[in-house]
Amino acid sequence: MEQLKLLIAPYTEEQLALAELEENTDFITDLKINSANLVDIVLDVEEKFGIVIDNDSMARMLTVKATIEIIGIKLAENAGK
Amino acid sequence: MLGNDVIDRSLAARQSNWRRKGYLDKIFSPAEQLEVNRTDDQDLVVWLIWSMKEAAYKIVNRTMGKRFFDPVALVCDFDMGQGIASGTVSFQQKVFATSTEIGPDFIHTIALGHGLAFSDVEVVHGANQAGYLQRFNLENPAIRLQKNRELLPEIYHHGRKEATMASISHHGSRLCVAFLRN
Repeated sequence: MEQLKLLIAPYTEEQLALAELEENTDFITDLKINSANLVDIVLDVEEKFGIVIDNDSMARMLTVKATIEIIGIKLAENAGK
Repeated sequence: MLGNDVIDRSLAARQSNWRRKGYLDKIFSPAEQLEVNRTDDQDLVVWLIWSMKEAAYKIVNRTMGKRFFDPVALVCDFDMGQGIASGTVSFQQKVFATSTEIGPDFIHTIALGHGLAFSDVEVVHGANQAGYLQRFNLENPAIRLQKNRELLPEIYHHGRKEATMASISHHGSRLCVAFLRN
């Protein structure tokens, strides 16, 4: 969660929502992140965690919870290779 | 159903670096990337396609009641003229017609669902600022921008005491309200 917070920080101006980041925080409705910047978050997550996020996973990457789940799944897939 | 999307071109240039490695692969199909590669004004074509996808997504989101972030699944095709582009966005079995106005500092796309024509749509441009709703209603006294019971935007026409469907988009200094005349 803390790693994710650092990564999201450059793309939001909603400092309060960022400070209170929790599982149900929504990137668009709560953090008011521009959808073109959501792509940057996806790319940053890929780089930071050494994973590849497919389009179906990205499609549901709208909340902190979904993002943490996807990172977990992709890391597990990598470990199994 | 209609959806619209406006892009403030100078803010887009500052806010997003679409040239970042891997960026376009996440949002555009290979055919769409080819369109970007073979134009002289790549920034324009990137944001044109993006606004088409965003406008069509609003219709999909409203009709399916589902949120998702899958720009590649919204497939764009378009013809560009002087200051205007017309095209289609396909999503699964559905096809939406789009019309885009291209200004020196903005790009504004309207997407329409089946059975609607662009002549049915009126667009009001405004300034995007805090309290834009009140300001919009002050500047356009014949109509009132409001939310319906499902919290979707609509335009109430004072003269005939009827509301029609609307779509609001704002980015940077730009506000665009598109609504059905009838």
